[in-house]
Amino acid sequence: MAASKVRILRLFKDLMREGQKFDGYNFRNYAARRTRDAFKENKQLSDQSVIEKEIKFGQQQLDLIKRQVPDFCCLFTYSLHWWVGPVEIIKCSASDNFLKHAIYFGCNIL
Amino acid sequence: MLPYLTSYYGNPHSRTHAYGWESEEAMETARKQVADLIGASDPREIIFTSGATESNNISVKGVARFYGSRKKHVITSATEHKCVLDSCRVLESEGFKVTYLPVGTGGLIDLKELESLITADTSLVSVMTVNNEIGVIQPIEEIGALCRSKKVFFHTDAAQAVGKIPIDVNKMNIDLMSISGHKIYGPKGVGALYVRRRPRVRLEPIQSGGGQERGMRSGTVPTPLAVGLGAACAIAQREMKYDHERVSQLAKRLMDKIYAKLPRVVRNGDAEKTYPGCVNLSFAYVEGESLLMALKDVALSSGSACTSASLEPSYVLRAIGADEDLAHSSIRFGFGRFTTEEEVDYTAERCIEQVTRLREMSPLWEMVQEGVDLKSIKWSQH
Repeated sequence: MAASKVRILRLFKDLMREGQKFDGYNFRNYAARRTRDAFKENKQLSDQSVIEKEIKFGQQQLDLIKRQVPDFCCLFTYSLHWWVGPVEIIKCSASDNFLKHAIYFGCNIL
Repeated sequence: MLPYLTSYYGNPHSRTHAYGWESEEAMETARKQVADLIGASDPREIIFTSGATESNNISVKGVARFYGSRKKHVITSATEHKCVLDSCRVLESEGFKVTYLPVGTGGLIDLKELESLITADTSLVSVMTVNNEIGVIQPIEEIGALCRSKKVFFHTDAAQAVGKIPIDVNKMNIDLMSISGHKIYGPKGVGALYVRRRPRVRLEPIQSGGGQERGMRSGTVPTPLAVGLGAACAIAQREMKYDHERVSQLAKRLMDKIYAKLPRVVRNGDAEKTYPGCVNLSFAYVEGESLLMALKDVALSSGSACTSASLEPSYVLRAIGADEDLAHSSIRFGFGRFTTEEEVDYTAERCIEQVTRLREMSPLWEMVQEGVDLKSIKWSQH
């Protein structure tokens, strides 16, 4: 149970954070509202299999958001390829916003 | 949608190679998703078209023409969308008799009147589910039952209803139904038409060609758009209750704010049988177009997008018997899945501010404040 709780919280945080990356104000707003309402609605669920199903659905939505919001990392590796030829792709963790921004500005300078 | 624009590029109607099959599979999945949303028992009853306009054209003209040798009468309502009314005009020029059913002040049709109009010569009744300008919901289930008992085909333009209110084509006895892609957050340029198989509805196709879509709509189905429409339908089905609650809440918020601050505001259309996402308000003594000009940064319109270029008062409002001056002063507020509270508050504030400003400038408003009955005034002719 405890592990599941951590997982759910993590999913919530990820959804909230990724949702804020939408360019459009309306979509940003919708993502936050829909995430909050869905978690609130599912709060009283007790059946483990249903909870698992909802978590899976949330995960799918998270992937969906990630696919739709601009990804700076991607931009960076592409620019780097173009500039210095094939180099080892530097991977940064998706949650490290600071690093991401630094890289983004870095590629602007490039 | 994206993979079907880039990697999976096969023609969904090609039966001879795997590229065609994968596109066909995606198209059939989409067809199933549309069918599920409207409760159709067989996905084959769904036909992909370019939009609700085409669906309406195929149904109205197609059914009337197919049965034209025996039956020459079509019934529709006066508040239908332009594409239905214009299709009926075309039928009239071909020698059909078309009855335009008047609506009451609430915008609803009278079932008894409809019953009395159906004759042995009637082939089709076409009444829209949710009106695009005033949002009223017609008694579709009752109309469906009536048409079934009289053995007349029933078409409904449900472009603004599908995905927003629960619809079941079998429960409601709907024989043909038009669906639009972009009204349920799907892509523009795609729509669907439900055509019942049992009892079979037959129609004369408008487009001749390769016989795709059971021969009713020849031409290659745009796979990416169909996939987008299917996905939108699946989401609409899942989110219908949530969205409806949200939209009702926002509509109430706007109306409460406006009613609290502004006198003499009239809501057009029945207040009970209505879809909350479409609120049509008339601000007496204010010209609708000048209010729209003053509210340029809010996406509002005085009628439908199709007629928004003309300054004519809406024919829908005239059909519900709204006074000429009120018909001129109407504004349609639309709410959707992505509308926020701040936007509603902003719109309400700006609206109140501008209506007050315009009324202050208006000599008519001044006269009303002084207690002059405007209807009793004899205006001099120049």
